[in-house]
Amino acid sequence: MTEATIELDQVSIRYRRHVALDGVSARAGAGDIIGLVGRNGAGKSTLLEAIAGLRLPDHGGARVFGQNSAQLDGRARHRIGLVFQDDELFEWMPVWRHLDVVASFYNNWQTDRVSDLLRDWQVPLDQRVGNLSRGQRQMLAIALALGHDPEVLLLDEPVSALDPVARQDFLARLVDLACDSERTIVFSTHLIGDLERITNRLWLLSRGRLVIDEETDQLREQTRRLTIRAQHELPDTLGLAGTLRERIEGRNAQVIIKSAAEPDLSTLESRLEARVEMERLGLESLCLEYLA
Amino acid sequence: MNSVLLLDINPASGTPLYRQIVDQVRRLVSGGQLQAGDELPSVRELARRHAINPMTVSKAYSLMEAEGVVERQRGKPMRIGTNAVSADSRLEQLDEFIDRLVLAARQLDIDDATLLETLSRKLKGQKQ
Repeated sequence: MTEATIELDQVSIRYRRHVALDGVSARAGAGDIIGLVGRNGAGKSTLLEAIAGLRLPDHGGARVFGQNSAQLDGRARHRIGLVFQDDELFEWMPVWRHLDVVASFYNNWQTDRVSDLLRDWQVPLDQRVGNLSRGQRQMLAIALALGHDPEVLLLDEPVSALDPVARQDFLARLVDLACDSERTIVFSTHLIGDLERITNRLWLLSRGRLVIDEETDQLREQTRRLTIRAQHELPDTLGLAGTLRERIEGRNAQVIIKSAAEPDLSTLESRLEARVEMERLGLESLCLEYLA
Repeated sequence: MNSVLLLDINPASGTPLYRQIVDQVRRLVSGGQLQAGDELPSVRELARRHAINPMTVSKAYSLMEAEGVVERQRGKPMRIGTNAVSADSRLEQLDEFIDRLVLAARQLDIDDATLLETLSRKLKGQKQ
């Protein structure tokens, strides 16, 4: 991996007695597009907030561009773009006015990129922000986050309110952004299908712990589902190397394994006196196996 | 010529995306649609066209370079290598499809003899 733009070192965050993040360590570098998944309450938003320095860890620390997230200087801040679930847009301002206000904070504001996006997404510039639909509002938040050409982009469910066409368009634009210069993009979503194409790395949170931090292609390559049909009742556990989950019912079993080496099916078939079929899993089924 | 590389990327499949790119380019080379010296689109062009991460395309290109399928030229696009095709690599590329056929036949509980018979009937049918 190239030099890290984001570093998390044993980050733990509690809300009263609830542990939101539990010792999360990870790194991301320029060029990484990271999909952040997990069930509701798994800690996805807290993780993004910790990276942005909006939430202070109780233990451990987050760093962006080598600086402590809690004390980022103005220059570092200008290199980060955020789309969070509670956007802080000014309700009473017309969209065009809002653009001007945000643009005035930056000396590298890309007026053309922002207005192209909003035109393509048909966000009415003369409308008050408070009157926009949920989807239009999300589009505005995305456009504003991209206006200063950020090197690190943190997106918390950026597409949740977008229709399928706008979502595809947004994903294509993320790839465009990744193509014109090396950035680090982390985005959380429940729509795992959206991650399949564009991410190169997956972070999967479960109850505040980072249970997957891996290249998506490697996950696809190493995770397999075995379907086993035996002639006799199967034992309680099959003890296969790299087992993530196993479900055994009488003579049938389904086992998810993760290993670099391909399992030797014929040995397994004769040991269990069974017919064994093997298939690789797409990202979506793979995540479901981990999350279930 | 900067070839228009028509790839069919299936992101939902369990096959790594870089693998899909490598396999398809190799197949196009074996089938003669791509020939030695043909230029490939740049990493960014391919990433944009298929809306996939440029790092994934870059990994596929590096792998193909290591395998001798493509050659890097200074300051110019990648091109198909002169020694890109060999006979056994052609057969090797069918493996994935044969595996899938065998798996489907097993799931349907079709015995080997019937499968072979059906296959040879299909092949004959195609020739006529």
